[in-house]
Amino acid sequence: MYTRRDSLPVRMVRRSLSIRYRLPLLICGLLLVVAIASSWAVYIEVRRAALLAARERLANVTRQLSDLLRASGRQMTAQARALAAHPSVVRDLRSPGRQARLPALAALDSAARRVEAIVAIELWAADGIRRLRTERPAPPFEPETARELFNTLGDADSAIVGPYRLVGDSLYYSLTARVLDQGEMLGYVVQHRRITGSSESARQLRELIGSGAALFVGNQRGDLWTDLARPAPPPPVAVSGRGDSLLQYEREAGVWELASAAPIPGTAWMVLTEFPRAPVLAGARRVAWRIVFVTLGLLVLGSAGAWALSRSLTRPLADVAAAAEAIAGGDYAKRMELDRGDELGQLASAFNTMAASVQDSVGKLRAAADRYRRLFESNPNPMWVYDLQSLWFLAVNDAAVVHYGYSPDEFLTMTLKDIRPPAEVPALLENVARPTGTIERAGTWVHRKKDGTLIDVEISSHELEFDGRNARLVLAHDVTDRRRAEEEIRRLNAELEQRVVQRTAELRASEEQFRSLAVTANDAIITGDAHGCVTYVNPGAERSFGYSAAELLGNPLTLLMPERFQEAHRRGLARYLATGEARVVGRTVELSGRRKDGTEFPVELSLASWSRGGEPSFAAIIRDITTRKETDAAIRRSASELEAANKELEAFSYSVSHDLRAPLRGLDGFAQALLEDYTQVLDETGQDYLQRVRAASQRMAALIDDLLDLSRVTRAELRREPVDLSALARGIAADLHKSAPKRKVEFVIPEDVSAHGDRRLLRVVLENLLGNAWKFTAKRSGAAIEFGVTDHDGERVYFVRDNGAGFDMTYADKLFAPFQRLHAPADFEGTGIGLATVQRIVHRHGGRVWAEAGVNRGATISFTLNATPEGRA
Amino acid sequence: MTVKDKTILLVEDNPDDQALTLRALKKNNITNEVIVASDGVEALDYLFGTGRHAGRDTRDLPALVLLDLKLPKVDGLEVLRRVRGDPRTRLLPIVILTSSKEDRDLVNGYSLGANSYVRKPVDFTEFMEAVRQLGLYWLLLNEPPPPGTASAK
Repeated sequence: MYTRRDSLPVRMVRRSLSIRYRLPLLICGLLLVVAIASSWAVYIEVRRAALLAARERLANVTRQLSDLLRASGRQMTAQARALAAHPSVVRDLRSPGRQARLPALAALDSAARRVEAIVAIELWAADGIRRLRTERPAPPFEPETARELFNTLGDADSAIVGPYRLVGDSLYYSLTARVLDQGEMLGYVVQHRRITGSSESARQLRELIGSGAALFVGNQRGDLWTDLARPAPPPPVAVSGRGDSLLQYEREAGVWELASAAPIPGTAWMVLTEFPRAPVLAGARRVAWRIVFVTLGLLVLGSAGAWALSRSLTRPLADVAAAAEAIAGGDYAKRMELDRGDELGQLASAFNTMAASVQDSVGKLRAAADRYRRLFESNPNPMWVYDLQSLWFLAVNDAAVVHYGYSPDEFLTMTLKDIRPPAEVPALLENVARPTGTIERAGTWVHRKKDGTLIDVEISSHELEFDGRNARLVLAHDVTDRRRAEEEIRRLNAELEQRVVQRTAELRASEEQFRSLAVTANDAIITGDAHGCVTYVNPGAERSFGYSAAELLGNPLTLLMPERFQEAHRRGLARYLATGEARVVGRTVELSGRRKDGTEFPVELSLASWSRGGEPSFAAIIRDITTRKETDAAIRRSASELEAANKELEAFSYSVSHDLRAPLRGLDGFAQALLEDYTQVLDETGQDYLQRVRAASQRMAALIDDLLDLSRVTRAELRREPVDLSALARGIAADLHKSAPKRKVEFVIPEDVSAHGDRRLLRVVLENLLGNAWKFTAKRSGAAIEFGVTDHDGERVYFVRDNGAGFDMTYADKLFAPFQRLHAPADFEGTGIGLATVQRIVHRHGGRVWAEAGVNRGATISFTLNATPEGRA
Repeated sequence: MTVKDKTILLVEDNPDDQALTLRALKKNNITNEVIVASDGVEALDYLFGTGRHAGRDTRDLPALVLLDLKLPKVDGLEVLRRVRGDPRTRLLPIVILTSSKEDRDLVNGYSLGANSYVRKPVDFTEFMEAVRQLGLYWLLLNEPPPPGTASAK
């Protein structure tokens, strides 16, 4: 269907993030949260455990160190107590005086000398007055320091180690022991000791704790700290030295330390062990990292799983969407291939059911639409739909395109007015404007095709809505031919009536003619009916057969035949009546007739048959051919005689060819022998005679040859074929030139002169004619010979023209007779057979030959070659 | 031209023609031995060692046969047919030398296996020339079939 198209609908699709992405993202997010939370929890727990372990260890170490240092303190206080118990010391305090003082001082000195760390030993009286002091150089110690020490000494304690003091760059500490005698407290021994620069024991202790650990000893009041070698910076937090609490602090920026402190009983000191936090937490960190890696791995795996899951969920959905789009796009055969037991499988199955149902419905709809469209498209009558407002064609069918000659595109740019002759347009507009019912027969209109021819059409139309417009469906039925046919029939009827009148008159005249013809005809004319009985005879029949008409009418035709033909006649008649098969009807056959007197005579019978009122009738024209038969026999006799004569002639020719030449050869040969062998006995006349004998015999031989040629020309079978006469003539001319190279003769031979005839015989013709021309131009200069062909009254006339001696036209009639010569042999040699041969050949080809000439004005010999079916020469 | 061991068989009934042919051969210095047969029977007798020539050694074949067609008793074509039909003489060089130039004679002659066909000219000068060329060709130029192959079939 060819229809007008205005616009195409545009479909918009809005897209949001697909489930395919949203689901894995969600799962990944959840996994991430869980992983972070659990990792954090595990990390915190591991770290706590690590710290706990570290505290335990630090506390243990600290306690052990504390014990170690208390033992060391006891050892020092034991020395002090031993000195305090020394008798010279006791004696000095008991009984001060010069005598006691020296031994006491000696004891002090010796004790001080025994320990390197001891810088000074003092002996104090109980009343707090220093009595003695070793003489070794020592930094000044405030007496207050010693008195403070005495105050810290409890009632139970016999000795005590005091706190560190900083004097200059060095750290000092003092220890004191009570001097007792019989339960009476006499005074105190005080030792001042200095921390030595390189303390091997401190290093050993650190190594004992573990690498990376640091050991500090400080006053319990926290003001001074030492690493047992030199003063050390105090920890950045207050250290109570009580309990097992774990301390954490930043010793340097970013470097955290774990520490534990414990008091050293029997001293004013406490011990602090420090341990870098990093190694402790390294395990926890490692665990944390492992968790992070494991978590990340899980995250990746989880994401992949989520993605796969999402894909497996969303792909079928996408397939459903694609399939739905395909169906929306018109591919109703689209089905989902999803074999799953889950909801998606059910969805696919439901979808397929729906699609099948849609396909079925669409198929039915389409078939219905197709049917209706075909009704329009393939309608043998031109149909179209036009807009009622604008009269534009909205759709046309094939028949309209074919019938009106406009292409579909042309139609769709035209209005209804364009297929009307201009004079009809107002009527059309009026008709369209008129309100009509839905179905209308608008009667017969004149339409105009593209080529301008006007046609009569019957219009039926129906109003409808087409593409949203008010339109009208039109069916045009071309009735031009019908109308013409009707007119033609009317005209023919009139004519027929006229002719019936005329024919009746003609028939009457014809019957008259036939009757007079039959009556006057020499031949017998007899008609018969289906029963084989005579219904009419003419006077010729009466004459031929010797019966009167009355004797024959109503009697069987067999009366006129010899008995031996009668049965065949009856059978032939019966067969013809039964099957219509005719062996004789419509043809001319030779039979025998029987006269009334019983004599037979040869007849030629022509039989015609026709039907009169359903009954076949026959008419026979019978000619008495007695005379013709006799003539035929005579001709056959002559022909066989002629054939015999020809045979004889042939034998004669053959014999001539052999026998007539032999004596001539003898004549010539022996004459020559005489001339050769007997020259001396012959005078000139004799020799001349012999030459004449030779010339005569050669001439006779030539005559015989020519005669044989002539006879051969007569006898030879004619074989027609296309012959290139130009080529033949050129070959002959070349031969002639070769025979007399000194002669200057101009040959004019056009290309492509051809003929249809016997090649050998035509060659003989040209040889003779060109040879003659050559011969008769021998005595003139500027000789020219032309061969050619002209068209004369539609007949091709070949000619050979020369400008030679020519001849007197008076004798032209003798030219073609054998042995006729128009020139003296002395002038032009020749046998006089050539043109006779030419004439024979031309006649055998069905042509003519003639000559035109004048004396010394040259000659033209023309000939034609007739006219065989393929004689398109 | 002196090729003594090659004989020529001339089959010719006309004594004039015999004489003229012999003269022509002589005049052309063809001195080979010429055996003359005046009819077909005699020619066949000579070739097959029968009749008048009974007992002749038939292996001694002429180098060339000059054969007229129109002969008494057995004509030239028949002679040709019998010579070609016999294994001994199948390959014998035979030149038809005759007055006739009828097509059927030419066709028959060649069909029966003549090696050459020459028409006797009436003009003796031409005849001389013809005989000279025949001698030149058949006795000198032409290589005859090797002896002994004649009977090979």
